[in-house]
Order: sequence, then C-alpha cells, then structure tokens
Amino acid sequence: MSTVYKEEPEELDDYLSADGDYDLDHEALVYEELDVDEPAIQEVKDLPTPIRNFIVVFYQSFVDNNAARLKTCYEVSFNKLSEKFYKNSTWPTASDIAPLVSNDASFLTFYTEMYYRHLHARLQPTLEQRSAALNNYVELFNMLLVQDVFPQLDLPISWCWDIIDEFIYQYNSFALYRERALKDESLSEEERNILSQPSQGWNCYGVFNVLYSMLAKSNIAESSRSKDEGEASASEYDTPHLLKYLGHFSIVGLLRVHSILGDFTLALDSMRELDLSKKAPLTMVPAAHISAYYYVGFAYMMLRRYVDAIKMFSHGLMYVSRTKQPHSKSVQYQTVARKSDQMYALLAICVSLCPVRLDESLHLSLRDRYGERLTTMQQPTKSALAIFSDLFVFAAPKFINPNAPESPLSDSLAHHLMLFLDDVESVLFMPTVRSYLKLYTSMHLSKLASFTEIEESRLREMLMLYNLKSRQKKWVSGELLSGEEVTSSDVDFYLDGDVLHINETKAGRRFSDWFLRNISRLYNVQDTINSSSKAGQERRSNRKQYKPQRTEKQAA
Amino acid sequence: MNRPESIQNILKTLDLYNKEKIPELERYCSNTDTYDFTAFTALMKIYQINPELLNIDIVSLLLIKALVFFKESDFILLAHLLPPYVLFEESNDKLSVSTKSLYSSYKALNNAEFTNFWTIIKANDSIKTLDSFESNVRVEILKVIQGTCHSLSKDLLFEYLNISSMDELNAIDPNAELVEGDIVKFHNTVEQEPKLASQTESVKFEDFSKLFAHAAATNS
Repeated sequence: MSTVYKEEPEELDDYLSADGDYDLDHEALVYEELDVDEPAIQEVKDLPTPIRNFIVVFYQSFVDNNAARLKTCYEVSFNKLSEKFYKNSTWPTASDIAPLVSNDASFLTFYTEMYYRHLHARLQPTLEQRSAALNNYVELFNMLLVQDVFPQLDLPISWCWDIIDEFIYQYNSFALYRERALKDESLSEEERNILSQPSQGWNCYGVFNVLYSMLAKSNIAESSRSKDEGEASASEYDTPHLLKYLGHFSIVGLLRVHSILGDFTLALDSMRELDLSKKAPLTMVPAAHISAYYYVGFAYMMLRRYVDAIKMFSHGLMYVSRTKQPHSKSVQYQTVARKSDQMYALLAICVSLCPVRLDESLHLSLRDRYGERLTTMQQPTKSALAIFSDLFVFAAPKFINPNAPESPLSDSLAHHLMLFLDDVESVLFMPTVRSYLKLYTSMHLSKLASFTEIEESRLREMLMLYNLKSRQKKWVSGELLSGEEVTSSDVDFYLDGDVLHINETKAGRRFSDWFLRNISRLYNVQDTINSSSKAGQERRSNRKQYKPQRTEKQAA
Repeated sequence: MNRPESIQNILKTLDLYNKEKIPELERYCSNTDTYDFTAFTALMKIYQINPELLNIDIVSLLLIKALVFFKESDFILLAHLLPPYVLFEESNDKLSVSTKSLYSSYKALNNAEFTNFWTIIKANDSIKTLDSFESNVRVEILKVIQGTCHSLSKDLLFEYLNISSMDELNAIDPNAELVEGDIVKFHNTVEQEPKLASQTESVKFEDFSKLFAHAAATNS
C-alpha cells in the first residue's frame, strides 16, 4: 500500500496563513512554478484568480500523478473554494475551463463529475442536469473500465469512494425525484414521457452493470480468496490501486442499492467478499466504513436479527467516537454525522425490541438522546407505535421504486414502513408481560390475565407468541447471512394446562473485571503514597544534613 | 436442498438480471415441492425490476409457500419486494386483492391468532390450489404451540389446528397423547425445556500478571 495515504501531505501547513485561515494565494505560488500556456489562459475571462490558479495546479498534479498534491487539491482546496466562491452557484462548466487544461478530455470528465456533485449538494438539479450528469458518469466509467485509460493513476482514496457514493446518491435522488414528479399534475407532457420510460436515463440495470463490472475488474474475489488459501496473491500486485479501491467501494455500493430496493438478503449476501473487521481500504475512509455498518445493521434489523443489528450499530458508533473525524466542512463529515444520528435512532428501536446489555458510554449517549421515548416504546400503546414510526422514517435509507410507479398510490417508504410497524405491533406486549413473569416462579394463567387485563384465551396465544419471537438467528462466524438460533429473552417459561412455570436466568455479574481494575488502582495509589512519603523522608533527611551543628549542640 | 445446477448458475451469477432466464426460474419455483427461499427472492426481485413481466399467480404461490414458514421472516422479506402500492387500502386490482388477503392471513399467524387464521383461509379460494399447504401449516403451528405448552385442552388444540380427531393429531405428532379424557399432553422435546443460560466468566492469565508482579515486588 502506498505510504502517501498514511501521512498528511506536507504542504497542508502552507495552506494556512498566520491566523489559521485558508490561504487562497498559496496556489498562486505553486502556479508561478509551473510552465503554463499564458495565451490559452488569457482566453478564459471572468474567472477569479484563485480559481484559475487552483484549476491549473489541479490539472498539473493530475497529469504528473503527484498524489500528495492531488489529495490536497481535492480534499482541501476544492471544498474551501466552493465555500468561498460557489456557495450557492455552480462551478464553471467544463467547456469554460477547457483552455486552462489544454482541453484534456479525461481530466474534464473527472472535473465534470465534481461539478455535478457540487450541483446536487447545493442546488436542486433539473431533469436535464440529472441526465447530463448520468452521461458524464457513463463516459467516466467507460474510461475506467473499458478503455483502461488510467492504469496507474493514483487518485486519493477518498475520491474513489466519493465517485461511487455520489453515483448511487444521484441514482437514489433521481428515483425519488421521479416518484414525486409523476405524482405532480403540473408536470409537462414531455417530461412525463421521459420519466416514464425505464430504459432512458437512470435505471437500475445500468447501476448494477457499473457496480458489478467494477467488482469483476478489480479482481477482488480472486485476491481475497487466494489470501485465504495463504498464497501470495499475484493479482494484488498487478491490480492498480485505483481499480482495487473502486472494486472495494462498489461492494458497499451494491449493499446500498439492494437495501434501497428493499432486498435485504441480497444486500447482506453481496458483502460476502468484504470483511468489515480486517484492515481493508474501507477503513481508510470513515464515511465508507460508517456507511457499511449502517446498511449492514439496517439489513439485519429488517431480517429481525436484532442482536446482530445492535452489534453492528454499536461497532459503528464506537468507531465514530474513537477516530479522528475528517475536516468538518467536508461532505464526508456530514455523511458521518448523519449516519451516526440515524444509527442511534435504529439502536433505540432495536434495543426496545430486544433488550440487550450495551456498552456503558453507548448506553449513556442513547439515554441522553432518547431517554423518555425509550420508556414509552416499552408499552403497548399507540404513542409507542408512533415513536417507532418516527424513528424509522428518520433513520431508514431512502427507499425507491426501480421503475416509474405503476399507480399514483405508490409510496416505497410507506410500504416498507407499514410492513415494519405491523411486525412491531405484534411484539409490543412483550416488555409488560416479561416484567410480570419475572415476579413469579409459577402462577395460574388467570392470575396473569388479571394483572395484564388481557383475556385468558388471547393471553395463551400471546405467551406462545412470546416464545416464538424471542428466538432469532445470531451470527457466529463466516458469511453475514449465516447464524444459529438463540433465544434473546432472559425469562423462560412453559404452560402446563393453565399453569405457568417460569424460570428466570439472571445475568451473572461480572466481578473479575471490576476487581482487577480496582486492585490495580489501589496499587497505583499505594505506590504514589509510598513514593511521596519516601520523597518526604529524603527531604527531611536532607534538611537535617544542613543543620548539623544544632543537633550536635542538642545532643551535647 | 436439491437445487439443480442451472438454477444455481442463475442465482450465483449476473444471470440473475437476465430476463430470458425468467421462465426457467418460474418453473422451478412453481414446483409444489420446492421451497428455495433464495430463488423466491430472486424471482421477486426480477418482477420488481420488470413489473410488466410480473405473474400474479406465481407471486401468490410464493407468498402462500412462505406463509407456511411464518416463524421465519420469509413472508415479510418477500412482501418487501412487492410493488409499493398493493398493500394499501385503496388499491383494488387483482394483484392487490390477492396479496392483501394473504397478508391478513399472515398477520393472523404472526400474532398467534390461529383460530382467526383458519377463518380467513376458508374464505380465500386461491389457497386451496396448493394441496399440502394445510398439512404443512399445521405442522408449523403445532411447533409453535409445543414451544410453550406442555399440555393443552383438547378442544382448544383442535381449534388451533383446524382438526377434529386424535387420529389427525397423531398423524402430525405421533407422541401426543390424550390424558384424563380432555387434555392432550405433549411429551417433552428438547425444545420444551426451560433453558438455563449460564454465564461463566473467563479471565485470561495475562490480566493477573500486573497483580502478581506488584505482589512479588512488594513482598521481596
């Protein structure tokens, strides 16, 4: 792995002027050093100087394959300049800046991708702009996959992730736009025709095509399989970094697309090639890592594997709290922040449906955010259901319909939400029943019926349901979809005729850890006291040495 | 699971998205004895992406098959792949009507409302096309009952299973026996024992090393 990505580019400090502000003139210095085509530059008017400098420097680093400078330009300068000059407007188009970059088509394709990304983030793209963005992607992927134009280009890894991430985001955004637009009666006939045709423009076959091709091309499957067999994988050295990263990120891309289409089993299945725990390229881009945890956790939740979902969300959230975050103005930081908010919401849902012990810090932050709501969610009331609904709508991915909707009633989110809520409704009674069951070792059904105010016959059915719902699949090892059945309830019971026999498993308190920690602490305190008292003794004995006469006199 | 190789190829490669493979997949899934959840989701996915090819009878068949395994999340996962308008109250076309009635039978099972379930089923004609459906569902319902009950009143049990004699019961579960004229007793299977989850703690030796070192240092 190239070591460039592990270090901060040395020039970063130069970018900040004395008061820590971004120094727009830095690029000017680099610009002076370059050999530029002055007459061509003069053709481009109306461009602020820092922008012009930036583009030239950017292009030059691209051509020279100067990884460090490319990374700084992409990650720092582009965002800062966007903030300053193009907060609510678009960057100059490719044709505007073409003379600056000697009309280099490949660079312009990359640049146009960033142009549209900025547009989608800050403004509302029109149908034409969306289609134009798609055409640009087609060209870009053509270059990368078919023509093999950049065998050795060292794009910064975050850029690789952003390309895939943005590609899927724009597809998602287009599908949602289409669903809304077709319901809008004021839409023009022409636009309606364009949107209703599945083969034109953004469609899921195209998206799948890109993602699967990228995967195949990067030979990921081969290299990871041969790693498992212990051989040195030749393909790892042959595959250029660019394609390898794109391949890795396209796996997360597939996970995402399958999730927004509602196919959760296939989503988890596509993660076969990727291991979340290993030190994959995935871990080098926080946004990618978090997205993976989020989507995997969500898929588990929809598969009713709450224990696994909670584990995923916990890992994701602990990772966020422990690692240094990317620069706060960047789009990636926003992704990380939003996904972590959503994961908290999903964690609240899962913990209510399947109470499990959480890590202390996580438990505290969860209680901070959702304290009251968590208590309400444990009761079988309408307001509890409303909270589940709100949290789901906030935290779920933006579900789409892969085609133009067949009926004006179509609403993907509402469809998935309804299926989810019906499931939740069937288990809302469990916490209350559990609390009563814990109080007895055996009781008559009628007694429980009087406590819970539920009719006996229905209560019997609910008890059967309780045991049914407490069983879920839990991942042990290997593929994400595999697992063995465990019970998630700490109360076990059976019905003999009309009498309930109950057995509660008390979670044993873990003493060893607590004792070890406190013993070490005690030792530390003892050592401190001893060393300070030793020091005190030494000081006292030193002082005695300085006044020998007095003691002698005293002795005398 | 005896999945033919051709189907395996479809499911594991990009042929999954190949429209020409649909008839083959449809034939495989419609086979009465086949229950291959991966194949079912694959077929539903293709229908989702190509709604003009959606075959209402096959979709209903898949959902009915998944209904039997209501204990798992199979039915719900297939339902997520349905067109997003069919389950709403207002939609009235053939697909919606058929899926809505299947969905309400699923909800009855999912809520352990077994008597209710049989009532809904009786009113639904399309389900009668699948022969083994009723007997398969009975087996699964009995499993749920036995997961909690060691014994149950005969009348209630017959109601839950929609049967009327001990012979029918013994056809499903040979070990069930009638005691005291009125109660059916199930013999304990492993599933019925209340499970005691014991928590043992394991501490690695290395964790003690600091303690021992300190103790050794202070004592010497």
